[in-house]
Amino acid sequence: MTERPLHCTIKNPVTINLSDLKSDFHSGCRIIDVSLSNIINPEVGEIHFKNSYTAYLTVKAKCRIVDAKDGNEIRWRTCVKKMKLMPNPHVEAGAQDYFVITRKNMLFELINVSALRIILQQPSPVWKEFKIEDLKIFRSSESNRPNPLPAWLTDSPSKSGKKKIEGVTNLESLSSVLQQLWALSEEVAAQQTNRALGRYEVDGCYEINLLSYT
Amino acid sequence: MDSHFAPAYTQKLLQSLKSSKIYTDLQNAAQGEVAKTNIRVSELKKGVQTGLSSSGWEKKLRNVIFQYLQTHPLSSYPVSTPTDHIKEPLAYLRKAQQAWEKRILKSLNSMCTELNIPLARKRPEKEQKDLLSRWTELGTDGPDLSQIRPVYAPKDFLEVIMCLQNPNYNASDSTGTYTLWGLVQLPLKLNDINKLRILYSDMAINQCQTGVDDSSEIPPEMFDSDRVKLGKKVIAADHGPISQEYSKKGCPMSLRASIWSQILGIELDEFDTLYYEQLKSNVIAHDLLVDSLLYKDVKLTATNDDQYFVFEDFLYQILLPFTRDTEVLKHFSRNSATPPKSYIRGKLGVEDYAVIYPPNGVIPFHGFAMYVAPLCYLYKEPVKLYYVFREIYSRYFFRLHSISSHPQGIVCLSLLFETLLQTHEPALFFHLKSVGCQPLKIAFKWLVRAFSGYLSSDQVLLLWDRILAYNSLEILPVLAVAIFSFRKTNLVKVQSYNAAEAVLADLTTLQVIPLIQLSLFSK
Repeated sequence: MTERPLHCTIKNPVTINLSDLKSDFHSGCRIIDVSLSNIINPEVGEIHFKNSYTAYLTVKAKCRIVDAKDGNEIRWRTCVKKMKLMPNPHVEAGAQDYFVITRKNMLFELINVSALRIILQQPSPVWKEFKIEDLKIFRSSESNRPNPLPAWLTDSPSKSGKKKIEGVTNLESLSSVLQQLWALSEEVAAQQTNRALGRYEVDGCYEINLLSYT
Repeated sequence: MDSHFAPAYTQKLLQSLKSSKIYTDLQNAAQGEVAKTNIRVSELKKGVQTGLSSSGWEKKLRNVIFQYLQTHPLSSYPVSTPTDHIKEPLAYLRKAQQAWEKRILKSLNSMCTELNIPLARKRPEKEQKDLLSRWTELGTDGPDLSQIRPVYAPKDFLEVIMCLQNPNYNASDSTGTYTLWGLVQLPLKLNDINKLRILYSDMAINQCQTGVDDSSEIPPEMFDSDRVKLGKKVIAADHGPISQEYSKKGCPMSLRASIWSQILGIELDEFDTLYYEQLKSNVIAHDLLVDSLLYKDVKLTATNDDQYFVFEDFLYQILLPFTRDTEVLKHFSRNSATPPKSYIRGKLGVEDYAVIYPPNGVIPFHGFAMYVAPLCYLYKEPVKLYYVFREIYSRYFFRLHSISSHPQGIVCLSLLFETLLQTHEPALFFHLKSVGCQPLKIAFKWLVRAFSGYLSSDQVLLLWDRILAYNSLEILPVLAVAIFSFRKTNLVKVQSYNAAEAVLADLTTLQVIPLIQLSLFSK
């Protein structure tokens, strides 16, 4: 990954409690505030994190909305609504997984955002603790995108990229042949067979006394 | 191309296709098509494509892709997920597996030190010649095994699984509300009985099954002869998914060998034969301690079993080359286990001299040979048998002896067994628990060995038909529950662990398919 995460202030999670009942009340709800106020032109494309026993996640954003009538207005809007991180809150599945919230998961594009509020919910009482770890916010959503598929698979109309070289001199034709050769050898090198030779010795030697613990 | 495959997945599939043999084969075949005179230049692409599909290459390509889909499940993890997380997503289980591995290593090391033998040594030339000359009768004059003991048995492994606990789980809650009844105390995701019923719906009682309706008491024209006829058609079609579908209702004994190799995509060429020969020469070149472990295991299990003792020599021809096969290492990308590491003698700590021990990374335990034994009834050539075993092991059986949260790992299977038994036979479960006999203590060894050596061999094969057909090991706990249900009348009378074990000691008379139907569909 080349892009660096946005430099933002992430506050410690706050557990929601009823003020009278201090001790045993399990609200199953925590809030993390993220301030983006020190960023010029704030825009959020991706949110990365590692789950730790959170069942549902909601993201609210404090947005400045440009209105025709009365200029700017600042409003809280729900951007991601109760996204399921654990399919069943009582069991492990998804409990420690890595997640990426992309534009696809968001209800609207996050532009002109001054703060984010991330709401964690865990309705199941079987877990002692729930949180999210390694929270990182990225501006664009271009990171982690796999290379595009070859054109013949995606069925997009192919445009022939090759142009004929006019007035070919000897030198150029030679170089193009060489280039072809080079391309061929590159291709061969890139396509090593997956049939292994099955060697396990080092320099023909496989004399071992004891196993290593590290 | 179907759109439900993520681009990254398709990319990987393409990459693996490009580096496999089918790619060059297809290229050669396409070249042959181009050279044909009946192809018009204006329709070159189309002509080559129809030519390839009519000459059977399309089917071969489809088979290769099918095998890829079977062995590479679609993962929903984001691209940046670390590899150890993909191997096992739960940190505390990763740690537990590491601790367990370390215990195995220590025990192996201490055996080496006590007996003063190396893990691996090169055989002197004379010994090499001697071994080569008696390759097909390795059982008659094996190494001295009096000092060798199995590294671990299923019982030791169960003790480790019993102690697993999620540090974030409220088990210590004073009321004990969240403590489970069984031995496995992990809150893992399981399929419930309704999901299992849907998954195994082809095994329903109203469907004719090989293993029930082909019994000798039923005239063959009712079911069996048609079944065999259909099976022959399936084999002729030579397409993995069709064979897999057919196997859902069981394979007739005469056709099983071919059907299974089609499901597993085993088609031997000269390279495979050569590769096996190379493994064999590697066995002859080096003497490993794991060889002795395997010898000991065969002597303790298969040789003592009246169904398998005839295959003793055969088993060595499979198991010994298996330990030298570095291709097996590939399955560790899906396995929560990591292969043991060592250094060449005198080069301790030098990374260039680090090696995997044994070369395939799998340390055998007590009963390992039983994964091979039933297959000996299917294949008479060791080479074919070898590749079928290797594929079955690296698809399914490795999950039966490593700690993971995978739905088909032994931990989930054990928990599934306990949960199903509690739900369907609560009185029986409670009785056994209260006389100090947790049912899993008896059933665990069945699960770890996939019932091999406990049932009669034809029944094991009928059971494994369903493992391959449904691409899942979940049938094992279902059968274990069925066996407890079936022997319920006797089990509710027992007052001790030994008595319960005695009731369930001999399973060789059981018919597995009717039992599975009973436990899945009768309530």
